[in-house]
Amino acid sequence: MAKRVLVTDDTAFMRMSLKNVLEKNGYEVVGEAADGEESVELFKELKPDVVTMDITMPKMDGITAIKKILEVDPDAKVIVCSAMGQKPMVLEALNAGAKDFLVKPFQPERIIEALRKIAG
Amino acid sequence: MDFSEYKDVFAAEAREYIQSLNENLLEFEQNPQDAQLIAEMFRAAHSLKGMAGTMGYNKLADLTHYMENLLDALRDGLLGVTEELINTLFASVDILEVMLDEVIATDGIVTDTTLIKEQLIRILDEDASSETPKLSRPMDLQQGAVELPLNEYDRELIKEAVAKDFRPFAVTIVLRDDVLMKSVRAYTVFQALERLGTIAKSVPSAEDLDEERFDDRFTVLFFTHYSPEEIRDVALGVPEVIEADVNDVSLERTGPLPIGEHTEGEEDKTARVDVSSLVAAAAGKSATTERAAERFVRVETERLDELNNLVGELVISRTQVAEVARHLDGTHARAAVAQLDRVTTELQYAAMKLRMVPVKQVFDRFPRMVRDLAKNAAKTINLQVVGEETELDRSLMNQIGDPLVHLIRNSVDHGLETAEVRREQGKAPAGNIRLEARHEGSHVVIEIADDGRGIDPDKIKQKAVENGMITEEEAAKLSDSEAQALIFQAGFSTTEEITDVSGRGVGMDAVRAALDSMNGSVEIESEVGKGTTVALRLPLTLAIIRALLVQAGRETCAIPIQSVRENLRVEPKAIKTIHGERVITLRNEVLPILDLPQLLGFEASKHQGDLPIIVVEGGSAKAGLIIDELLGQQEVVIKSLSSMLGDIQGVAGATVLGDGTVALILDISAVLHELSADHR
Repeated sequence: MAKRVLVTDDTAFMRMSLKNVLEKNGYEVVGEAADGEESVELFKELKPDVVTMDITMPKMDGITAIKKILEVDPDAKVIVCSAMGQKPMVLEALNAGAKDFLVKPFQPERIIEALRKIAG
Repeated sequence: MDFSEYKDVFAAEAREYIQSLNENLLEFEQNPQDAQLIAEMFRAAHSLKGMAGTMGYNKLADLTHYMENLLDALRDGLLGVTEELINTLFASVDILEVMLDEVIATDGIVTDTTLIKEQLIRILDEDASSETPKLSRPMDLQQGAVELPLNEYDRELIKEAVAKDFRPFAVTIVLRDDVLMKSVRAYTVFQALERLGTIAKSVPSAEDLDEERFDDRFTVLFFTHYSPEEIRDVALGVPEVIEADVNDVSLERTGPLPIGEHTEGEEDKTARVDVSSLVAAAAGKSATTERAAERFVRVETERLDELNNLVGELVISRTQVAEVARHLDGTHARAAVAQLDRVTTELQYAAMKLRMVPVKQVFDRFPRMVRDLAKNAAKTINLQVVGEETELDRSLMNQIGDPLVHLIRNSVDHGLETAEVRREQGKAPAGNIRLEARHEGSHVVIEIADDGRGIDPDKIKQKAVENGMITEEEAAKLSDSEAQALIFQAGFSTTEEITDVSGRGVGMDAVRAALDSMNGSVEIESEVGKGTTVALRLPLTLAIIRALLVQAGRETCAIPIQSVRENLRVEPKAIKTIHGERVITLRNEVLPILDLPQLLGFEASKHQGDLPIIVVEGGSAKAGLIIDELLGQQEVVIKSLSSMLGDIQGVAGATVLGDGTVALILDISAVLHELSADHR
């Protein structure tokens, strides 16, 4: 069965392109969240296999959202997405429990490698 | 993909990288053996490349890519350090800066980078083909298999681990060569391995990994109960890991590199840390950067200006409220007003501090400038920069750049001699320029000192007489320092030969005018053959000044304290009239006397007995102002008049005093300038 992914990013364009890449490679995007708060809510509701999480977002940032999601499910697999030069934040996200990270601009091949290695 | 929201951050960060490239290049020119500098420049170019690529500024990314190649060859010892190479790198950095300005302004790049790229490629091709490496290659950047040298401490650790039934492994991890954020990637590998055991040591060190001082691979000393296959699987389970080589470590086989041949100090440091601190080191460094980053917020300067304006208004309202409260009964009102007073004062200072920026912002460009100017003038010059952390009002900072550029150019072009001349005079062949900023009371002093030929007062006098600025007799009476001060007069120049950047003396009047407009002053001290020191004295801030309050007719006037030289009482009969001009003689100096009330359009002051006179100086003129009454000295907040009244000659602005009355702040140099213009 296809792995179910929840995509989190405040830009619709980013969500769209991620979804595109994922669906072409056999993943099912079950939800899209535009901020951390929405992501946590959708996570509880949808129980996806993997969450992709942008860091800088309105309402609730990605790092806080990762912590909340892990409170709900300590085994949740979250991949944090960041821009170049956000290294400290990526480290913080990894320490908070993110399983891996992706660097923007996204390259389909890397996204799939990370998804495959993290979600199986 | 749209990254425009990151543009400001990109611009600011790119600027920092370019500045760091500039600084490191300058240092590298002095110490071409310093591998650390090459590594830092490489990293700066690399970061720029990544950032520019993400933003879609491909030309910028492209040029940094070629720079990176050159720096890479340099650190691999494949290239010799030549002047051409260094100049080419400098030129590349300049072009990067131009492109950065372009993308900030228009988002597009029109600069043509073909030539510079060709130049970079040519240097790389020419030199890389020559056989012998000219630079030894730093160990921690070594490509190929990373060896795991063991020192005594490591051996102890291994013995302990083995005693506890752990198996010691050397795990070499190879990352794909275009790995992004490779330090973070290394960190995730550490995280993954730590789930199976403990990492006792890493080569390159955890610190080097964190700073991205490694190529595509690193080796860790790893203690675990798991099998080599399991370790391999976990390591390969980390994205971007393409190879994981797991080997047994035995104490008999200590690796091909004997301890000590490796960079010794580094090794020792790594060896002594335990597992937890090793991992902490990998993360800890970034944690510090993160904390540092969190301490700063970028704010538009307009917002700061707005805040400062509002605070200025508040200060005035506070003064008015205090005045009203004085007529109220009851301690409550007074206590409340006293509290308001305290808070407002603190707020005023806090807002003022927001305007302060370190002079480093301006000073930063000078090492590079001096280097280029010195090259053009075929001189060797050492620039020493002191006190660059000294803070100054931001608006002053914007205005101080040009005068400083001018003074430094003067020092390089005219102050400092060529190496031969210096040798003949028994000086060191390299000239020295010291640029220093420091606090002096409520002022910031910026000094530009050189150890060059100095300013010859006799030449100055001669020139001044030729220009008709002074007569022969006047010239004869001038002291050396008075003569030297003549170069600040408008139209003075002793230029004998003009270089492409500056003529000697030309523009010193502009420097003075700039300082006057900032409520500052400039002094010069020079000794023939020894050198010249120019000191710029600036107020800490433009928003608040200390002023002398005087009564002139019905008006209260504030005279900025910088313009005030002294305060006299003069007998009416001491005032003489020469050529229809009223003057007094003060310590052998003839001083014109002006009646301030009259100047402002009131009746001339009528005094019984001695006249109160304020001696003021501004714009190289000096005069005594007769006033009606001296009221005292206080700090005043400058409010601009320009929005309502436009610029009024002689008035710098207005301020509101405690009783709500408005006092005009006099611009003394403008007052005196008008006066001298009237007389011509």
